[in-house]
Amino acid sequence: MRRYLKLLKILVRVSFIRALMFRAAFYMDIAYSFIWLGLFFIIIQILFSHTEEIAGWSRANLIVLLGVWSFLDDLGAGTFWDGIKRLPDLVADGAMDFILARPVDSQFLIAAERFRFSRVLVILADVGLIAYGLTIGEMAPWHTIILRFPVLVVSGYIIALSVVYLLHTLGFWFLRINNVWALYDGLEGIAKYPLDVFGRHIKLLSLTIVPLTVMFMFPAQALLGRITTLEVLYAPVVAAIFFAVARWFYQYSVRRYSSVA
Amino acid sequence: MPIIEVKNLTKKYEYYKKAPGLLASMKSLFHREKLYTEAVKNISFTVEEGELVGFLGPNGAGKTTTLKMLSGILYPTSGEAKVLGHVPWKREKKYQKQFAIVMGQKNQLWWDLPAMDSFILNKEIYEVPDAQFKKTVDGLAELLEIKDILDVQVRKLSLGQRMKCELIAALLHQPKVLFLDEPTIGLDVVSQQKMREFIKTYNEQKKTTILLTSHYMEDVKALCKRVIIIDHGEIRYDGALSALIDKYVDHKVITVTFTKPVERVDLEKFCPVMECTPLRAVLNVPNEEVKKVAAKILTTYPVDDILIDEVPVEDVIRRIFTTGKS
Repeated sequence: MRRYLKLLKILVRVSFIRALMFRAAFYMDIAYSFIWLGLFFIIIQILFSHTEEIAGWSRANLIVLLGVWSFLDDLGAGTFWDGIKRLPDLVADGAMDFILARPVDSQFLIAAERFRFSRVLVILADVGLIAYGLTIGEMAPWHTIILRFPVLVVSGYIIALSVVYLLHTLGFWFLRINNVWALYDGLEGIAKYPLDVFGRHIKLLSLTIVPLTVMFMFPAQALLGRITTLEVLYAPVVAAIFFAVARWFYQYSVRRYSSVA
Repeated sequence: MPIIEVKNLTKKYEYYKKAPGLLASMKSLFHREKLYTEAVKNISFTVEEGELVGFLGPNGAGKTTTLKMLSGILYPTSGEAKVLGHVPWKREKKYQKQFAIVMGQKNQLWWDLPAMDSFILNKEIYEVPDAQFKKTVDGLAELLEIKDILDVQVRKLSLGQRMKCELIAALLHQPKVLFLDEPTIGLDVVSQQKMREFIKTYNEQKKTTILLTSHYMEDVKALCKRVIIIDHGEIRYDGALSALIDKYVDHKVITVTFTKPVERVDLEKFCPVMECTPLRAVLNVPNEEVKKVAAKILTTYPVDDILIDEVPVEDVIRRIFTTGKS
């Protein structure tokens, strides 16, 4: 574990050096993230200028949900996503050779090679958005937030990490997976709105096969005091299952790796 | 006890047929014909500790595939292999810490950062102690004459400098087994020579077992006492480089220059004439007749100079590949 923390420290340092090297990309990414966040915020304001609530969610609640969604999305994009997204390219151009030959967990090495520091500022904005939503609306008692929110955020993050890994592991099987990723990205985008509005079947799907509710709504619900103990216990189980499946699928797929001549 | 043991190793790749044209591409949406190619067929060999073995073959012969299986990058289709007592494709960390692979056509160094940053990452990956890291980097950089470029971005280095940095990155943990896949490819003559000298010195000093693939016969002649020749996935020859000539060549090459013109038909009385100009001739002479023919030419014709050579190794190997004979 200590060794992996040391490796992580080196890889974070290298990513930071890179971020400083490509300043324009750094600023563009921050601007891009703020524009999108602002756009969604405006959409919520417009929606609630016509109604008081949507499927039991008030404007303040929805701002919290948007904040949580954006927080998890930026946390993922800022940490391991960029590294994992390189996987199909690493397979296609044979660069996996050196990764597989090294005495370190290859999944870790792939994921940890790219951090996006530009997202740190956006994460701060996300936290601000969550705080704003909680201030103008309802909020769970502090002690329940402290007990439940970290469990649900970590579970949501692990599920998202596993899903991203699962999809990009398809790179071992198919040359291009852009469409699959675009499909998931689109689905994930829906989760910034309460999935209750889509009816029972979609809700069930979002609790199991594509657990968007568990990833994004549960942490928001924990902040708003709208979560049951069963749901709090369910999230880590889903996270563990997804993590195990992603891990197994990667190990299985590596056997197919044929490198490049 | 051998360091590398390979028994009946086979690697079969599957791929899809891709016919040219729009219609064929449309058809392939619904049906694709799966094809197989055997890159490595049932090969067996062993390598002893400290040996530097040349792995030779034309493009697509199966050299790199074999190296990749031995370094655990690829799973074989069938067969067995053990390197340092480990099955490579099990990817045990204990094994991975004891070998290194360098590929001339690929780089493991971060392209946009100085080589030293990649070395530091490898130091942690291979758990190299600080003192050993410093000593190894200093020593290797000194030996390879690249001390002043370790803090220059890799993308700004010449190919020769980059390859030297690749070697340092691979040798930081002092591997017991080193797989070198075309380490001199694309290098200029001087860089090739320096690289060869380094590999030779390193092998002699550290007793590292090295398996080397190269298209350059100069590499093989300078470094390898033993060669394994592979073609179409099959081993055609495994033995001493010197014995290769004895086994496959039954003649020597006599090159004669004359002071006065000599007719080709006159020379053909002795042996096959490969080249002939009025003042120069190249003859292929059976080994047992070399002395007799040379003496006869010297006494019969106005000879200015005479050279008796072995057939170049390149020609021998080319002949093995073109005839496919073992």
